[in-house]
Amino acid sequence: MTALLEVKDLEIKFRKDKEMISTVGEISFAVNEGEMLGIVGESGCGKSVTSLAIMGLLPKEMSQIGRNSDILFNGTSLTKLSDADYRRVRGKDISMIFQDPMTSLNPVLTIGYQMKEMILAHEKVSKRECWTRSVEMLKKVGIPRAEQIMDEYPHQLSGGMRQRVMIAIALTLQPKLLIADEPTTALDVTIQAQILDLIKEIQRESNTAVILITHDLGVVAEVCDRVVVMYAGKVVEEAPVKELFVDPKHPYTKGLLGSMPTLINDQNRLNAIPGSVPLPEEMPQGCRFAPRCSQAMPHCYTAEPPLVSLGNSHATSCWLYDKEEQKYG
Amino acid sequence: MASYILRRLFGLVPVLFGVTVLVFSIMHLSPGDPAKIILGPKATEASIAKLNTQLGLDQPLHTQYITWIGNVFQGDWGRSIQMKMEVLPLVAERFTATFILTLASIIIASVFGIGAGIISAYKKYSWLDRSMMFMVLIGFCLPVFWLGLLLQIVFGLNLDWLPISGMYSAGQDGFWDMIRHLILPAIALSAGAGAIIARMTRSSMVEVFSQDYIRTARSKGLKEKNVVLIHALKNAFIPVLTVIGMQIGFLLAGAVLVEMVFAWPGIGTLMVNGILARDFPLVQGVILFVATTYVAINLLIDILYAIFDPRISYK
Repeated sequence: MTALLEVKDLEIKFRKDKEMISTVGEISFAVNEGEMLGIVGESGCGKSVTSLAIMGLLPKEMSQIGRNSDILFNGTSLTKLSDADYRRVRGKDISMIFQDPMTSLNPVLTIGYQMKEMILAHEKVSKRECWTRSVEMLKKVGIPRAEQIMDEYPHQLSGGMRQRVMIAIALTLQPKLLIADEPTTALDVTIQAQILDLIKEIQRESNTAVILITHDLGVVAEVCDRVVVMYAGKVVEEAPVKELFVDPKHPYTKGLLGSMPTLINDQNRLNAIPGSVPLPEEMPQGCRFAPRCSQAMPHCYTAEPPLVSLGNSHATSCWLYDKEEQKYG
Repeated sequence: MASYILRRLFGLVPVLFGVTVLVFSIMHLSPGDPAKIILGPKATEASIAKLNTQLGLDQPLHTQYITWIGNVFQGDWGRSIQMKMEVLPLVAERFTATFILTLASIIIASVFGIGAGIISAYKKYSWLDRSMMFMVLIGFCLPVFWLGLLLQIVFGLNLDWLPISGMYSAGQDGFWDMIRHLILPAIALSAGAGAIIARMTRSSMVEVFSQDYIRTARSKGLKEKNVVLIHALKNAFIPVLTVIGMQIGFLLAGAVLVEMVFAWPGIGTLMVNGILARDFPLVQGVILFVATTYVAINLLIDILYAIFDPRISYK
């Protein structure tokens, strides 16, 4: 499999009181064609910001991408594209669905308009064809009475239906990559499962690569092929999904998995990771997780651990494993 | 939509009733006896009583109101005491001039106000935004009559581009002649309204730009023009529309000063003269006419709300 999207040393800085503060620090990962990659982490760890950076949708006056950073899509560097060229990629090659379908659709435009403008922004087709394709797409994502819904407004649909419409819009032009930023967080549990199944089904059918951003490890276990775990703007672990659940390496990943309720153990309290995510302007020296880590060594507070490959496409950035590597390798 | 318009129309009935009661009360609560004013200071008690009977002023108030409102509906708005003319045709003729001036002003104010507001919001905190909002502040603070005088001096006297008073040149009644006369007073009148519309558009657009659906629109690869003018503006337009509606009311009232400065033959001068001469039927007629127009414009704005935001007619 070849890499469709390669994120290389992506650093994202945000302006705060005339100072540029790094929120995402030199992260790298790749998405292969037709693959479903999960990006997991707590709120504020940089998942959404990373996805917006890939889309080229970070607010320009407020943010900046590091000089050595690069985002390669099909071998083309997205960071070097002009605004007009980037616009052509958005929606057509890479499209995105967002967390809250209640607010992500424009309340004063019809569903039909919002579907059709996507096609018209990228292709020269007749209105008639636009309409037919839009209706087809709505049917494909399981919307009943698709023809009528074309003339309706978002407030006339339920949350689940709106998210289906969002998915339909995002997939209309058969993009090679779909970024789903917490697509099920704002939905009921039963609807969540339906939407995940739909994304998975369409992904298999059309061989679209998907980046699924979530804080819900259950969702990851259900649909993803590979997982990237992020903490405080850094990738701390990367592994195939089964491997991550069976044999997590990084203390943070272990903590995350440990904090999930299980049906087998009769627990009264869930385990929690002590402390909270550091603020971007108060990033600790060395390993960013060290202050909350139960296995932290003096070394962890001074030097940042590199991403260490553990074989089997499993990698983690933790000094514990770097030592092991030195010992055995 | 049709039922929404119908509901709004029914809602007008109590409003218009209130307006007529108010207008009626203004005359009857004002100090001074109309009969005395009509007959002058040397009138005898007997002649005043006789005129009061003639005018129906000795009847109980509610009877007078019913008679008056009946006449109003039949087009009999009474006679101007000072001008010795029927009120309705007089007011209607003068009102046309005021309406033209107000309409021109609100168009100028909306075009520039909305335009400046959009640019300011899009380039938030830039030097362009700051300088535009500074100009808006100036526009808002300038007294209308002073701005009028300034425009007359610069464009009328110094540059000699445009006429500075009246509605038509002597002996002419052409459309373009009227437009030439209209430009300066309309600009003078539009400054304040334009400033308020600009501020409202800016704040409304700034809020909309941070909404999720704007991010969605950009993620579709739409052109910025479409994102701003379709996705953002259509959402931001409701509060702007409200302000425009209110400004039309203020302009109708505020036209008085501009009309005085530019000798524009509108309702303002008529009203001022009427008030000075205690010409109550005339004043009453002017207020009723302006109030009804204002109510009608508000109805129009209400209908426009539903066109811009489909959620409104369903509530």
